[in-house]
Amino acid sequence: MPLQPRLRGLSRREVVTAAAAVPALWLAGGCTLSGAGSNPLPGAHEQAADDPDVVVLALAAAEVTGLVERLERVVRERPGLEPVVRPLLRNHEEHAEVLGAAGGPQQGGTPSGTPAQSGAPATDDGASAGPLPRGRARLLTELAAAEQQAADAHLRHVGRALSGQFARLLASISAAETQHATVLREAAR
Amino acid sequence: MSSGPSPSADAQLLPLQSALAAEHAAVYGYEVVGGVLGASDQLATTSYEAHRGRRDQLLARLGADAVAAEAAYSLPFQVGNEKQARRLARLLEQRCAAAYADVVSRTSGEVRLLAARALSECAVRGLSWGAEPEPFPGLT
Repeated sequence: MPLQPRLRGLSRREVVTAAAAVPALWLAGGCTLSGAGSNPLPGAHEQAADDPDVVVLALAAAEVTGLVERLERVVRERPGLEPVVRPLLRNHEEHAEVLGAAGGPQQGGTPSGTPAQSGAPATDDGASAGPLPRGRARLLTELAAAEQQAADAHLRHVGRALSGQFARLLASISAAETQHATVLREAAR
Repeated sequence: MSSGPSPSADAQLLPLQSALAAEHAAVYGYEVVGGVLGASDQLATTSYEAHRGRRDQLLARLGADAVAAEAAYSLPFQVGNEKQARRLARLLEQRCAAAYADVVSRTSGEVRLLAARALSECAVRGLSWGAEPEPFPGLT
């Protein structure tokens, strides 16, 4: 048996296509957590408001949005850390895009009132409001902890998601955040 | 494959077969990597042991139905120096990550979480072998 069959995974396009199912429901429904069921949803999407995955998506998107905002702030206020942080930020922006979160300045059109946009994200324990830690090592260690926290949260979401494809996407995002935590811990040394 | 204790248990375990096949290949692959880098290479040793551990875990789960390792594997490219060995290691982690991502999509509950954790471990080990952090480990 050759070691290389199925080496080629999905293309980026296929990832986004496969991942699009749940975010599409979210966007098409225009529903909110509190207003689930109150919006008239078109045809195939009419079950979206009751779909538990919509709730999972909202939570997952909020985690990602929190990380995007945190890393954007670090790049802004500590430009010296940009070489470390920028590649990670780009990954999170891709996560935000796939999850339909308000992840980048170029993005708009997500329904107002989504957790991704309203108030503090679930990962945010207030650290983004106060000053950043002074030392490079301390800041990187704090970022690593935030990434690990998001990875753990996304892992819990993996267990909750009904859709297998959605769970797969969340597991991949969790793995990416675990990679980030590792990179940041290394950089803090 | 013979039938398992119950259809639902079977449905959960069936996707693990492809992950086990990937782990069999990884164990073989890391023997090659270790052969090139030498027995004193810590990373090769810990990577080999990690995959052997996962393999044994999957073997235990699948019991008599578990797929066996192939008699022989062909390497995707020549592995004769350190650079090639590290490249093979990255490839092995990618392949296992993809296999576990697939398991996640086809299972639920505890088996799904096991696969998700294994996916993360592969992604992090890949970094140790020189891979860059990527947005969607196991998917691309």
